[in-house]
Amino acid sequence: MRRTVATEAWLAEALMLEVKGVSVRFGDTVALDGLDVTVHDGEVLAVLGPSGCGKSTLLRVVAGLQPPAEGSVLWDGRPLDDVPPHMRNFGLMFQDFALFPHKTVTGNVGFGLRMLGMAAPEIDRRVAEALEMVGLRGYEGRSIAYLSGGEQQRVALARALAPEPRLLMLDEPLGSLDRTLRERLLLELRGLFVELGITAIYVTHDQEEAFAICDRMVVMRAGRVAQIGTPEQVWRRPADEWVARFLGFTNIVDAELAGGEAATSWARFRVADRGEGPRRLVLRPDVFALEEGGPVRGTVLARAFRGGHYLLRVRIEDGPTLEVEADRGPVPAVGQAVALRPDPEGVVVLADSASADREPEPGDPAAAQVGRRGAPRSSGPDFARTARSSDRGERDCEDVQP
Amino acid sequence: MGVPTFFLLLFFVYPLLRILWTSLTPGAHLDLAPFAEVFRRPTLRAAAWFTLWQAVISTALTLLAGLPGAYVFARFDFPGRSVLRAVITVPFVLPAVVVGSAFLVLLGPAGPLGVDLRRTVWAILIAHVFYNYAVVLRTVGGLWAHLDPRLEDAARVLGAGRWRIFREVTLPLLRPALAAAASIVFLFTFTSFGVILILGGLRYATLEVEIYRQTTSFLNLPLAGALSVLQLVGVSAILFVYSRYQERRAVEQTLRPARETARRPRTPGEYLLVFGTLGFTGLLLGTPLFVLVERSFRTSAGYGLTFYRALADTQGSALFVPPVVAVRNSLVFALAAMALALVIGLMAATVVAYMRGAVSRWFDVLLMLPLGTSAVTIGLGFILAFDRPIDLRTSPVLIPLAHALVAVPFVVRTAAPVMRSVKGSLREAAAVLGAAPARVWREVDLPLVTRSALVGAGFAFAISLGEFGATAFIARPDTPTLPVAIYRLLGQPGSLNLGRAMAMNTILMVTTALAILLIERFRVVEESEF
Repeated sequence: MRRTVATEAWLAEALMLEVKGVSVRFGDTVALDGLDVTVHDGEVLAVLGPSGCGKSTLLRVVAGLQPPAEGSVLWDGRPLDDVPPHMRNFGLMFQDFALFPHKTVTGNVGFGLRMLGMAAPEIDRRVAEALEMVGLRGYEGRSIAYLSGGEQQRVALARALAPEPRLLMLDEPLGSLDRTLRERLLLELRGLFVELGITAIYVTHDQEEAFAICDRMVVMRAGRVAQIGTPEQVWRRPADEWVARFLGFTNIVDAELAGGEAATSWARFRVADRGEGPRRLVLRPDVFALEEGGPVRGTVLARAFRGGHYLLRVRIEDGPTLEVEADRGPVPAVGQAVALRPDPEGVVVLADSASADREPEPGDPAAAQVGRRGAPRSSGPDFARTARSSDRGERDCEDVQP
Repeated sequence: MGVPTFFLLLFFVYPLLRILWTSLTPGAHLDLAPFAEVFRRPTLRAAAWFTLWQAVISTALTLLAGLPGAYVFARFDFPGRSVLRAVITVPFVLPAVVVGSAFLVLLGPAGPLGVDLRRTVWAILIAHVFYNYAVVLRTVGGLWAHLDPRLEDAARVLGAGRWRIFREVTLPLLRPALAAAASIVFLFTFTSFGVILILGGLRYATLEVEIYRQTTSFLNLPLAGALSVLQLVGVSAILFVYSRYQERRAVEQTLRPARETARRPRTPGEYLLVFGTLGFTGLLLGTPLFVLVERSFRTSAGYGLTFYRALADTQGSALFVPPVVAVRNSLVFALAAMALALVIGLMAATVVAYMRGAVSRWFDVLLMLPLGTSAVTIGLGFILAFDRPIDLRTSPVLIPLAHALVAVPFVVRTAAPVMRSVKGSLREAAAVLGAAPARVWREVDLPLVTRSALVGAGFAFAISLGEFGATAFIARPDTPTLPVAIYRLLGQPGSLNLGRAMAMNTILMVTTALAILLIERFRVVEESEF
């Protein structure tokens, strides 16, 4: 069964969590600014944003740890304003795991069950089940201090899952782990969520993590929603320049649209969008085809092998420097002249260029983010090292189902 | 917050106010006569002057005597270093009565030194050095161990001789610790009571001793109150200067882990220094205690347990009860004070750790005040305050209350830093998993704080066991504690009484030392704030 079909169905029914107009301020800082977010029954919602955008605060508000200044949180239509954290039956996996250092693995995983007043044999059974689920069978009596980062992460997950919460929230659960471990755990998590049919909110600043884990995602910026959609929608159609840059797309250019064609100072090419007038365009690196006689001409400045493809930096004649993915045919060498044709369907036309933000604000964490993700601006060592999966455009949630 | 505040208000602030009230109203109306009398009477002026100068000299002597030890323990590694450091701390926590008694026999005519220094100022000064040696060793040595030795190497490369290096590099860097040690020693010697009462005889009296005499011998409560008020002002001034100095802390410096700076002695000169210092320390700290123990076993018919057996009867002593009852009393009071201090201290630590901002800071200061208040003042305050309308004078419950008052700051100081260091997310995790606030405290804070609370409890126990200043005021004749009984026996003639006093001293010393060494084992390094 394709997951996307089910997604359509969820949208129509079983709205479980509603975050309505929630604002949180810390002194002069606005952490959440009239935020509206919903989660459906059985849905995994990813909350993606740079650090400091308020995504952890959102989880704390939902968990009841942070009272909102305005707005309210509803569960199944009922407001939770007066329900203290310990009565909400939500699970929260903390960024630092927050494992009780004075308790064993069993003591940690069984904590929530004890709070439910469960009998000891029942607790033992459920703890064993939860540990089995996260692949830590036999760890029951271990002390927390002697666990590795990955093991701690699993204990924290088991602890959050054991009481079978109505909603599971995860705050950057893989943040502190190394890359290989992170990718493996990500797949395991996704498998677990699907298997248990869990309703979850997954907070991360890493778009690959978000794409891989969720049914639907919210991109957050400075306490507000920047975009909501399926991973594919967000990937293919970033709502604005900020989202595009946050996702790592740096090819953002000005153009004049008329009659299905985009005209820039350096090239003219076809676009599917029927808009007219001045617009900003996002040219994802994967929309270009190397094609003799292509409308965009330039010279290869740098070339980096990325596993499934090469990433080229191409200096356009009288124009900007663009990033281009080359994954078919012979790869042009540095210094070689190339001609490129953008796929008309792939070109993203942003809102009116006059109203859109041209650059991320100085100091905006997104700027740093963009540099770090797979969109390098220099041909320094980082350029060659940054890895990236090949056909990310094709990737969808169903790909990672076990 | 309510319980600790109520406790402090009733058993600390209220007695202090009663002292102030009593000193201001000797008749039925407001009158400053008691204060005028303090300045008019030559004996009181002498007491004030003596209090000040003996504190200054004691502090200077202690610093001088302690610096070599601090250096040796900071910079050299030798077998048994950590054990020795723990043992050296023991004299500091010994009851004043024990210290006084030890020097009474050591410097007495029958002592091993063969000179009679009793009732001289030397006895007092040496006893003070003995008492506070560990303060210098631990405070100054603690910082010294963390000083970067490369700074000294740098000075040496630049051509500075050993003495120059010490004067221009080491000493200035040590200044915060020196100031801290000096303030603490000064405070303790300024408010010294038991040692001076026993060693000073009639000739030397500090303000503390005068307060005690005015109260017990002359029943001149307004005058005692006035002395107490003046004493409080003096102590507050010291604490104020000290905290100001601490704020304008000396140079910022990078500290090194202690184990990187210590090494084995290499040259013969270094061996001489290390073993010479250790020998001096051993003689200074060991001899008085050894003589004390030795005296408790030495009878006219050779060594034996005669004095220990004699603790069971009242024969020949002026006590109303056999001394062994005092042992029992002390243990019971110490356990009660410990429990009380633990409960109130943990509550207070929770408040200090959970609350932020000005309220928490002021509460913290309020909690520390009893520590800076002299024991005699607390004792006087208790007998003034719990007379009428709250009449507790006949109740032995006052004793553990007074002890707990002094011990609570220790529990707070050990427990609050640990509680504060508990990550907020642990409490939140417990809450999200379904634990109500009280449950969160029980499941998260309490287990994590247990270890350090035990340390605090150990201190509370030791403090209560040896407390003399306040107890001397409030103990009923039929419910003496160990220190009170020892003091009374010392005032009685006869070798039987002296021997019994020494036997009780030995018991008191061994119990206190055990409690303290036990604490050292429990203590988690760098966690505690004192």
